[in-house]
Amino acid sequence: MADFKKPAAAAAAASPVSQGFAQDVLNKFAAFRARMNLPSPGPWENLHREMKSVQSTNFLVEGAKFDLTSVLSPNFTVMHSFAWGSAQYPPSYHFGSMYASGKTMMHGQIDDQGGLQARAHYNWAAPQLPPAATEPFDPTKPADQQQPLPAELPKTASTSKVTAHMSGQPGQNMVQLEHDHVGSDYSINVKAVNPNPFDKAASWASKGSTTSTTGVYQLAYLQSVTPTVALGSELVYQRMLPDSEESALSFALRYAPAPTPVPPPSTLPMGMPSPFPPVDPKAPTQVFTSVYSPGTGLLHSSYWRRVSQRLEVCAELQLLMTGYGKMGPGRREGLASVGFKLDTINSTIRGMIDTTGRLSAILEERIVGGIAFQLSGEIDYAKGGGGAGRVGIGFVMEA
Amino acid sequence: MHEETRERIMKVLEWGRKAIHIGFIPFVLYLGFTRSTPRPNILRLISPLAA
Repeated sequence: MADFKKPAAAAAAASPVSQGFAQDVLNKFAAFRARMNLPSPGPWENLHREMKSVQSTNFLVEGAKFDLTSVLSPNFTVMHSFAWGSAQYPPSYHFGSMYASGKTMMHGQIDDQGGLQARAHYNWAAPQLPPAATEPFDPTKPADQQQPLPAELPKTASTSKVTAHMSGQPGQNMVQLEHDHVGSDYSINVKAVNPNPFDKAASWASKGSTTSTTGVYQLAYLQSVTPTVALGSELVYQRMLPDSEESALSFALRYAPAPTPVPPPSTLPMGMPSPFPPVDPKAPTQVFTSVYSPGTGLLHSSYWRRVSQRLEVCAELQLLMTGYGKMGPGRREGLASVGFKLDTINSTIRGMIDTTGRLSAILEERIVGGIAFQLSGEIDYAKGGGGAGRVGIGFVMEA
Repeated sequence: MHEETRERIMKVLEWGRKAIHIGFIPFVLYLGFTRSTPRPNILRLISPLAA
């Protein structure tokens, strides 16, 4: 944003007489903003991203899974995925295909029941060259022969997205239109789920109007206010049926202190090249995020920290607090969890435990190049009979 | 708005939905096979081992 305003500020300086007081204040504000050198807060949906990449519940496998990905060309990928042996879900097969080039990305996935998930993105910002087919990180080479970190991509983006979930049955289809704008120090996200401007009029509508607009609409805004703190807010307006309207407001805070140098793994002898992928020295090493929605009384906080090049830890707290009201007596419920992610040379281990006694762990072992093996387990100690557990194995192949 | 008009719009939207439901994956595959360099072998759609 500040970049766009700079020429305006220069023009204003050239002809100060023609500009009013308001313009002057705006220019000063833009110049102040540029001096602050604020980082981009990232889109709203990425608020808890660091934590989600550590928590093992997001990677659990139940039963058995076999994923086969063929990279047909740098911008075209086809995927087959089989899953079976789960107690909860019937065996399934998914076929996916993805095409990406410069500004557009299209991804479709269809399952054996005929359900389709389609996604299409279009980035309006200057075409970002896809990171040229760099060779993957090779732990056997010393650090000075490794590929350098990819040059920093421009952080600003303006992407329109269409997402659709379609199944044969009526009433289970979903279309979502979304626009995501990430600026140099702010981000805006506008979303419409199943928008229908021609729905039947509401029962309370005046005689003249015969239509009403239904759907779910969301507007989110995040702004960096200091180099470490970003504040934001999200408004959700829901009108699934013409006669029911609801809205909710949430507030977010993201605090990411200036990064501290990440120590190299302590198990390595001094001077030995590190076998782990390099870490961007500018990326934050600690992030605290909190989202509170007063309407539902839900508070969702998370803390993530990179302890060393190979270890990341996170803690999560979800609180539901409602006062005494129309819905009956107030509720106070909470759920907390801690987790870690540890990288070793050829594997990744994730573990997590929460306050309901659910313990889960995942081991992902990379055998060669594109072949990986996953072992996942979860046990719920709170369930009767000493706990209920689930295990899973996965096999991932990429060629 | 007449009830009839609403039904007509809904019918058109339903047709569009069906077209996307059937055509989206073939469309992505078509784009991938015609617009990527080098042109991939069609057999690799089924098995990644085919050269």
